[in-house]
Amino acid sequence: MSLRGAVAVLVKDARCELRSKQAISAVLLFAVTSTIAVSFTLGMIGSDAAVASTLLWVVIYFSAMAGLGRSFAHEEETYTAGLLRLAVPAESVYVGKLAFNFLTLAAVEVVTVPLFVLLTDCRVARVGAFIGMLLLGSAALSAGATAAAAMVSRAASKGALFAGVSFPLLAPALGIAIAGTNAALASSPAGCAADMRLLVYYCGVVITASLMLFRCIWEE
Amino acid sequence: MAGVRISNLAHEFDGREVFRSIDLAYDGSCLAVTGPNGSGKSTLLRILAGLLTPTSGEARFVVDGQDAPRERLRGMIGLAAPDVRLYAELSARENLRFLLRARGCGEIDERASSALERVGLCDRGDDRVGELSSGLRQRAALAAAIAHDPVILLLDEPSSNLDESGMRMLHGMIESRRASGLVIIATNDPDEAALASERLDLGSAR
Amino acid sequence: MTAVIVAAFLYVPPADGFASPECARIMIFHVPCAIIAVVAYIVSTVYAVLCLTRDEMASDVKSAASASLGFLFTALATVTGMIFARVEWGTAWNWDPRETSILMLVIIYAAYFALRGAIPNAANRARISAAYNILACLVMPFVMFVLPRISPGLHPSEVSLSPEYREALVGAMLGYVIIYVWMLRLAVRVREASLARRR
Repeated sequence: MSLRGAVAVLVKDARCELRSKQAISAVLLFAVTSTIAVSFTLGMIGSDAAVASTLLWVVIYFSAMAGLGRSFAHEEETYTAGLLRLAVPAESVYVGKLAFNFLTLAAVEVVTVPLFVLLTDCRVARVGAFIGMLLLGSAALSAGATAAAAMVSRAASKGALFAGVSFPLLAPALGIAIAGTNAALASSPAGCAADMRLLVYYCGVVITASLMLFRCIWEE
Repeated sequence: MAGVRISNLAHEFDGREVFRSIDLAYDGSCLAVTGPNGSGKSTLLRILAGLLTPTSGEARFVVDGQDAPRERLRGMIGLAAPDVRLYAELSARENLRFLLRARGCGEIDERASSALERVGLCDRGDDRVGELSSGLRQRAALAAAIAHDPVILLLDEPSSNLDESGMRMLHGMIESRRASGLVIIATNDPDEAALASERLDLGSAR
Repeated sequence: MTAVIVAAFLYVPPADGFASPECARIMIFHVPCAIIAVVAYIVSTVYAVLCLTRDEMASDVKSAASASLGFLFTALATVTGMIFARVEWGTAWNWDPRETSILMLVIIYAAYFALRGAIPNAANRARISAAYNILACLVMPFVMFVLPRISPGLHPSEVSLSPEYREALVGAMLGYVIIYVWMLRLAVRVREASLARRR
């Protein structure tokens, strides 16, 4: 694997996305409207940490489903995948795309999470732990979603398939992220350290397995 | 210098045979792959570039008398083909800089400028590829194929969309590339095929 | 299996300690189904690994065949489990950890077949579905850490069985294993014949 290749892929994707704004605007619009819909229908959640953590991660998860699947599908549809296969080792493509997906999700959360907290009057007991859970949860979602996106990019019908294929891979991470965020919001005595550790292990397993399997997925 | 070794190569797509039993040992400078539409010219080039795994058989390159390992092929092969396109959101120069950086090449700006100059795209090199005409996009694709100074150059229908000056540029590129390496052209154009010292006709390999 | 079915209704007595002692007989069919569902998935994953490391298409055929049987046994385990849950605990679905893990297995199988059905190229389909199979298998252990947080388990952790129940369960387990192996061999032969005919 070449780290230089991965960075090149990340910079290229970021540059293309900043110019076209296709994925980020769709994902951001989806995330903001979902957040508004949730707070509109439920009103002030206040100190109900369980409801707040669940709804927040549902919004983030479906935002990821709306946007992260495009990372590989776009390459196949515009016939640029061949160029990528020629110039960049497979593992570097995965790492570059993973980094891009994580940054995309983080950018969406920078807008969505404060909006969610504001509109629902959600009380955050431990801000550091809350942000940590968001980052780790996003990393976990990005890791699984990137591998799933690569698999689905070779399929004939990509749209709805991505969400269906991703869910079994991401459901455990989603559950752990919700539990950990609940602990961070409610300042649970047990804390969210155990959940953070689980997410780190999850990321380790999924990223390692994806790196080992990616050549089989990516190359023809 | 480089050569190509093809041994009992066959490929099929979902049960439909594209070609079979191709055997070739070539150590010259320019090889033309000819054949009717659907005979597998583009498929053969994709297999040689490492973009496709053949159903059976083997295809490999020999560089300076030694088998070129697959890991090193990435830096040694340049490919220009209709189904391998540049990023439309980026300029031709940005595309070249991305490819050169990804391949770990040095002197990225110099190489990119040199390649653009070689294909006659100096004044349009900073325009987005999506805004270029088809002929200029083809020139940009050729620049991307040669920017990293590959030993082996694979060209699939390279003259498509090129005007007269583009054709002269292409012929000059092939002549200069064949002097130091290997050029393989997949073409139906008799003028392009005439540039080659050997011809592989896929029409008879089915 | 005929003997097991007869034994389940005529030999095995009603079970003590259940809301419906007669309904407890369903355990004789439910438990082996659930075990075979997991075994079939593990077998499918093993063939997926072989598909990627050795012979591609033959192992892919076996992996897909085992997955299809696993889906069948998962569906049977889920239905029999829901019948028992309705009678024993009042509702057909309780998000008990074991119920949730079997549902996850259903979803993995469904996604696996959806992915296979959407990839037109046979070689790509073999490799990509094998990779998905392996990745999903690696992720499953994390479900074990998430599930206990959702709800406490309703499935008993320790069970004492009468000799009749034990004999019927062992017989059912043997019978289901034989059925699975037999059906797997049939499914592989059908898929291989179909592939040969297409060639």
